[in-house]
Amino acid sequence: VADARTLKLVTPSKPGQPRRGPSPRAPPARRVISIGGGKGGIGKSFVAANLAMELARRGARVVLVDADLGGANLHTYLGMELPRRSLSDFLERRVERIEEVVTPTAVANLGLISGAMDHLDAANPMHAQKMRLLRHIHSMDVDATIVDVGAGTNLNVLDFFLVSDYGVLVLVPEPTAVENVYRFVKAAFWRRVRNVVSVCGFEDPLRAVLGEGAFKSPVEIIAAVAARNAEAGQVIARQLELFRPRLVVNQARTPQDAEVGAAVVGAWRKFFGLEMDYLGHVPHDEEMWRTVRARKALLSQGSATARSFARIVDRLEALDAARLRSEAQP
Amino acid sequence: VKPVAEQTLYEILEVPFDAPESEIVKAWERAEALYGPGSLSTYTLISPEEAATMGAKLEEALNVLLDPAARSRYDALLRARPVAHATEPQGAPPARGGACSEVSLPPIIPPLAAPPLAGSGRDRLVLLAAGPEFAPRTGALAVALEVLPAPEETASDEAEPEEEGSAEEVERGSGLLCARPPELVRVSVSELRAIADGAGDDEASADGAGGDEASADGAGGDEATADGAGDDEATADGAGDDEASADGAGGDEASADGAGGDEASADEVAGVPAAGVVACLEGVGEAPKPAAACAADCHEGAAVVPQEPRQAVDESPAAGVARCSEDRDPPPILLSRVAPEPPPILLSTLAPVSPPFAARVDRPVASPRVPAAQRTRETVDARPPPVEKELILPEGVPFTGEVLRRAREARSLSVSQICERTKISRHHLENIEAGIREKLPAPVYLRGILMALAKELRLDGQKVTRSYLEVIASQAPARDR
Repeated sequence: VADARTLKLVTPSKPGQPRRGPSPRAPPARRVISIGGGKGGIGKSFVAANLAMELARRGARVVLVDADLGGANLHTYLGMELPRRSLSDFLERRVERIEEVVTPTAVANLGLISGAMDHLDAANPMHAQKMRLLRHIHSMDVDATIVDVGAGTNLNVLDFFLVSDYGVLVLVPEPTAVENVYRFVKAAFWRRVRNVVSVCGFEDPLRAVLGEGAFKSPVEIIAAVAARNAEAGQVIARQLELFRPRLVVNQARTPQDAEVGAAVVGAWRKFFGLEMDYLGHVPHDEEMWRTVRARKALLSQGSATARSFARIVDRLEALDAARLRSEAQP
Repeated sequence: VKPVAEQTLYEILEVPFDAPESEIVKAWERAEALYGPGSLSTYTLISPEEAATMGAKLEEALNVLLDPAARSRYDALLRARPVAHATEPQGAPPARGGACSEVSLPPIIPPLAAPPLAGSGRDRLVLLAAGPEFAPRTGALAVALEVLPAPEETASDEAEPEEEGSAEEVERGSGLLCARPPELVRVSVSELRAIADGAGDDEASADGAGGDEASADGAGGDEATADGAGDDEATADGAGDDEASADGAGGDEASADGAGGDEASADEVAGVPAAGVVACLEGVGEAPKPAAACAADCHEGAAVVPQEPRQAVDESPAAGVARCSEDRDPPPILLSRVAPEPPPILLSTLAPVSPPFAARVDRPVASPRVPAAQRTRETVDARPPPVEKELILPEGVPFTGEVLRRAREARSLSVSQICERTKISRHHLENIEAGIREKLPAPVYLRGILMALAKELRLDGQKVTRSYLEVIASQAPARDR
């Protein structure tokens, strides 16, 4: 439990309980990637769709989950009509397994779980519904699951972001987006620490420490927690290491824009003490806009945008490979 | 992750400890873009206080790390206090760094006045070794060592006056003086040995050491240093020895020592010109030093000097340049010091110029038999003409481009010569002297250039840089209007 990597941990698995849908195959490429970033309109869905398509194009079996429950529109990015089945079928138990709401897309190997809800209050699922959804997302038998979370920092958004093996933050080089991405990532980090702490039963030391006064960075808090309870300190420190979002800069217009990603990574480490990985940037591209406008899915291969996604996926896979190696070590 | 306020300048810039200057400049620009005002990447991430701390750190990094002398002192401090940052209150490290950046050391170091650390009640020994060529960038190695206020008991029985080579002398001296930070001592000793070796034959360097002794003589009391060197036993009883050295120094009319002997700033200088080794003791501020501590100082100063300076002086080659401690001989070359009377040197008036350079005489040092006062005069008279027509600037005159040009001309240096020596490009130099704001290089380069230029002109780099940048900055609104 101490090493629980994600929200899996919100419901610590009991030994006797059989897990649903674990892949019988070796799981090297199985991963859940969430796409978030706080601000609306920064291209989260666009990045999610293109990332999924690039992965599928490389032969991975990918499911794209539109978890932007109030504003699902991924199908439009994929050039599809409104799917007939959606998450609400799953949430309201009209179907038992999440695989049953996957809609095939025009792209081979890529399925979509639409979040477009037929009933108006579906944007606010009950806690139990949400937990079931998170569990199922994590246990789908695919190579990659990409979860597009909505804007904002409400708890559903954060939980969808945290369900993943790692989150990808989307940023556009504008102060508003930078502001929101920091707010989002801090909120996500604390949500995660809280989850870990509550599951592991370390709420008291954390609460005591937080009551002591203002802390500037997580590192200070952990030091204070560790001073009270070494084990709690260790567990939270481990979570610090594991919380390592990745970053994509969208709509980069200038070379300086492309560097904003690296700068944010540097500042995040310098002042917050946590790591991020910069995946790369997507150039601002009129063609992309025309593609979306025409409700077509695929960017023409060889376009600057398509190439940038190829680079981003290269980097993603390199990081995954490194991560697998490091996890295999101990 | 340490809070920004506790990070070293190297950690701030994220460069290795031994990063070359070019790398530091690059890292500084990167950091400035990353964390400076208006940076997108820190927007809402850091508080204004953190931003201010970062800004101050970056400024300090620029002042300290791009100034080789200040940097080497800073490095020495870092090495001497590996855990200092963790234990000290937040404000302390920047203050110390500030002290470092305040004191701009020329390649050969005159005795230093106290850093603001004075309150700590410790004396600091700064052992400086400079290469024979005194290469301004790389040749200077400064090691700051902490000495306990009264190390006499160890000092007195260890000092063996009958040593041959200056390197050994120095090694012994530094070893006994500074047993505290061992790695530091090791570094300095090996450096010194290397330098001594590099200086050529051992005899020569021994002579050099003697010559240096003589240099103290040249400006100060031959008696004083002889006493200092000889009175190993006497050092233990502090007051008496202190008396002796003060007398000796005072006798030769180099008033500084007379005053200094009692003052904290009375420094025994035992440099080794040929080997380029200067050891100087920093006294503690204006506060009078306890006699015992002073005695220890005298002794330490003596410990690095061969026992028989007279012979050495007689034999000393031209290379054994006469060098005098700043406070013994107030030379007319000092640019920013108008008052002829010597210190107690305060930090602000510290090292405006390096008198040793100016006082360099290209002939063998006068025989020690000559009465001290007479010799002093000789030394003064022997100064080469260019030095004589040195520009004398009253304190507080801003260093405009025009002033820099006059200072250059006063040293009979052409623009080309400066370019040649400092590797500053000609148009930069011309624009700096012309003070054409728009044509000046970016501030980070400008600062480095001014530092180098000031050094070449024997001016206080810090002062020149600050003053020049202020002048340039103050021009801005006028011009815009």
